[in-house]
Amino acid sequence: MRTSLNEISLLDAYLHNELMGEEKLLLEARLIIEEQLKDHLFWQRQSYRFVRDYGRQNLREQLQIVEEEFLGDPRNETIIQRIKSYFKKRRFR
Amino acid sequence: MEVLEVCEKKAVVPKDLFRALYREVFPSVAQYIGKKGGTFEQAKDVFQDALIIYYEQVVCHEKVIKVSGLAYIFGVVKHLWNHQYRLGINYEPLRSDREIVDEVAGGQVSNKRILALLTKAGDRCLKLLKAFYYDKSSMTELAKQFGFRSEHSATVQKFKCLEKIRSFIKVKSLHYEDFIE
Repeated sequence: MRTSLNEISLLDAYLHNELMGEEKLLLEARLIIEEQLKDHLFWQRQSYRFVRDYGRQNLREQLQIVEEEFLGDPRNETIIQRIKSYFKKRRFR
Repeated sequence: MEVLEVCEKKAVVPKDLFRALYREVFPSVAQYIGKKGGTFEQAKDVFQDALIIYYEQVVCHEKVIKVSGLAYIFGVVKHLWNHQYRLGINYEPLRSDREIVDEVAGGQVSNKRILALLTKAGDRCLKLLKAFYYDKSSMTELAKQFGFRSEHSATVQKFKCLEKIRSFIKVKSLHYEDFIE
């Protein structure tokens, strides 16, 4: 792999707590001295957050489809009526 | 709860898992939220959030739980609901596209907007990274899913994508920062 990818791989291991002992200490020392490396670490951490948010967004879309299928399935009519009855009482309070 | 036990082994397509969970767990959750004075819409929101947490923690991270899937999800529902309820806040769903306001070099950046741009510009890369980091697919699964010849090729591509996304986020974040300041 080219140098920049090796650096990404190293930061990836660090951010996922996979670096140990000397390797970890060395990287932490470099992070104090090398501004660019520190900057890369910051943006790489941000990248994982975006990937997680993208994952959640996708998952929620998938759940929405499953929910609509469940609520719209005529075979589930009895159970859905029962579910809705749990909320009806409040209207008459 | 035979279905749940099988699904916890991650061998089943998540959609099948979710179908089973809606059928077997959602009615009890709805009853609970109804008793607590919540609405049908709130019950659906809380249940979706609990499923997201269950997926991230148990299905993907393979966190060992001492209770059944049903009990775990129900516990999460109770926690989510009571936490919000006790604080006297109307239940707001756990949003993936929420405005996470991060401090970036003194400025504030709308992550929601950047995620939308990122989805358009780097969809294949995002999908690949999501499969690895969010869904916790193995490199073998990743290579197969995205058509790489070897695990090594998949690994290299994963880091290339990470480099691309990292650079994109940095540029766009600083760009928005210019507008904000």
